[in-house]
Amino acid sequence: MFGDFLIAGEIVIIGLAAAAHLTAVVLGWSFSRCVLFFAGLVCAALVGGAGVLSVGRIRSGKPFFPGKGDKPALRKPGRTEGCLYAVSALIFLTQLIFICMGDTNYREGDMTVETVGSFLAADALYQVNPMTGFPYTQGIPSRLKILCLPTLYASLSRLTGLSPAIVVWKVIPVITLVSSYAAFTLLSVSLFPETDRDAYREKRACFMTVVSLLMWVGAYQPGMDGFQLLCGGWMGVTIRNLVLLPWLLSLCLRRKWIYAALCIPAEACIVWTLYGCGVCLLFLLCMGTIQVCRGMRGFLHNS
Amino acid sequence: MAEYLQNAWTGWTGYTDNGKLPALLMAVLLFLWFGRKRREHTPLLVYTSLMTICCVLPVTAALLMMYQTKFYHYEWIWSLVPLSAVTAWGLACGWTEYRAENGGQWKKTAPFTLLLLALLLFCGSLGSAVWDRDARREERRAAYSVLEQLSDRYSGERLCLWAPWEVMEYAREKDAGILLPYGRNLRDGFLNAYSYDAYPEEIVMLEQWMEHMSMTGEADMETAPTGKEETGAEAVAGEKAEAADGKKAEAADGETAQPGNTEEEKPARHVITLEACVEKALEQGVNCILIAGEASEDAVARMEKALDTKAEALEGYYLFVIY
Repeated sequence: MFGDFLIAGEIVIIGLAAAAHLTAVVLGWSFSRCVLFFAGLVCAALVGGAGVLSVGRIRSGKPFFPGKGDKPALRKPGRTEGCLYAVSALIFLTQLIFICMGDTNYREGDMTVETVGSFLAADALYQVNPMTGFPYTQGIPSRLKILCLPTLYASLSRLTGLSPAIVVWKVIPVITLVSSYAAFTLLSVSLFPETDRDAYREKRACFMTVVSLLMWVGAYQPGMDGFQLLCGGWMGVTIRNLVLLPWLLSLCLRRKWIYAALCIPAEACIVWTLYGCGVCLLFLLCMGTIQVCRGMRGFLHNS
Repeated sequence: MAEYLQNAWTGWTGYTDNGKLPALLMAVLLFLWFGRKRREHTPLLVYTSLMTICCVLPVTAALLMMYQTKFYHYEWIWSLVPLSAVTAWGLACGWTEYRAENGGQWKKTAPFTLLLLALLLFCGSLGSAVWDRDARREERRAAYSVLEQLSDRYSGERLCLWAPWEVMEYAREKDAGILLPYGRNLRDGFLNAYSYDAYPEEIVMLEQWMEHMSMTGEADMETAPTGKEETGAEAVAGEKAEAADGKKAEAADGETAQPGNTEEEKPARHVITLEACVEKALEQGVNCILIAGEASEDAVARMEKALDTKAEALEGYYLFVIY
């Protein structure tokens, strides 16, 4: 599904950014060199990905571009379903406008823009204190040095020429918003599968409408999903809570455990966790354990 | 552990003060467990219910807070609960099933829809956020305007700025090329978790003096009579001020570091002078100082003398630049 590709692609980019970032930190590279390395990795990944897809297509004998007959037939949505999706789209649009037009960023306890600006101004990673611009006197925790989001944002800023504030407060939150809706769409498909006898399409549409409403309703304090999405979309915790976790949940429901495991290193690269033991790991362990226990109970019951 | 327990206890109250989405989640969970003919996705239901209980009960909440490290507050343990997903799931099931039971009749469905909508909206804070967005926007606009003019006037120069807080806190986000003697982490303690660096007392004194200047316009700041021993920074500041003036500061007469007529009657008071602060700022590498436009003539004159430069007007501030 498109949503799976989008989020998996984002995780791959986070992974590449982490690789470039860690290499630069360990080898003491300048930021400019790190950006070049990151750009090279992304290009290599794109070429490699395209190659793997092409080989797969050739082997399966499918055409590169689907013809008219190959396209899945689009079903016309029902009236209620259409109305619900329209409301959902309208709310999504208002959130997009809110992020793009409003000065809505909540920066208490956050210094991403200053950190990104420091990387660009000093041409070095974590060498100067972002709050003052002077070199660190006592240094920073080693766990912090692993986090790659500032490097990713600074690389985007360098490659696109946009200011750190625009990249961090506008571009990334928009990407997070779109990815979050993609993750919740996948979750709706997992929660209401086609095998359901009831009106699963209507339920999916209703689910998306309620999710989009919840984002507005929950925009009242830090830590709430809506607030994080609309006022802090660049933060690692937001990406984790609103992109990785809904996707992880949908993968758990679809029993795609290998893809689900991808979320754990992704979280470790973007969120300050207890040395990697973050929310995704605990979530996956609990969901896995419950499903295994339930499976065993069913097995014992049947036998 | 006691601290974690205390935080978990107060955290729950704080978490539910502004909005009631956790309460809505609990209602939805009850509906999903007991309000439907057929139960689906039981593992998800079990997980969400268990995690919700763990987040509410202080002991388990404290354990979860230990797991997520002290870096995060209580509200972040709720990341473990798929609150939005399960709430939306329950409401979607409730609404579609009620509609199906009533054969899609709008006369019956419409009131139910409105009821759910009202419930959802009232569980939020109806638009009021925890911080004043408009005030923040206005502050930022004003600070950016000043900083842009500074950057334009002294483009190519490496500025180290010392200014009132409302300008300082936006300086580094506007232009990371500007250096500061102290940053946002002086007031936002949470930001100090990102480094082991700490500000010495002299730097804290600079911030206090600048804020005092912005509020009163006076050049000298009298510290609160705490009755405690004077801090090293203040003592140094006082001595340096005297040295800079070449004589005992007149402004301090009867007030500075002099106890009252009898030491028992009045606690020790101390004055931090403009000259002492300027000297300390220059030691930090400051080469650009902004003071509030409300500063007294005496303060401006003393600043000019201390820096051996002339004041310029800049958007309601006095600007002093030295090379």
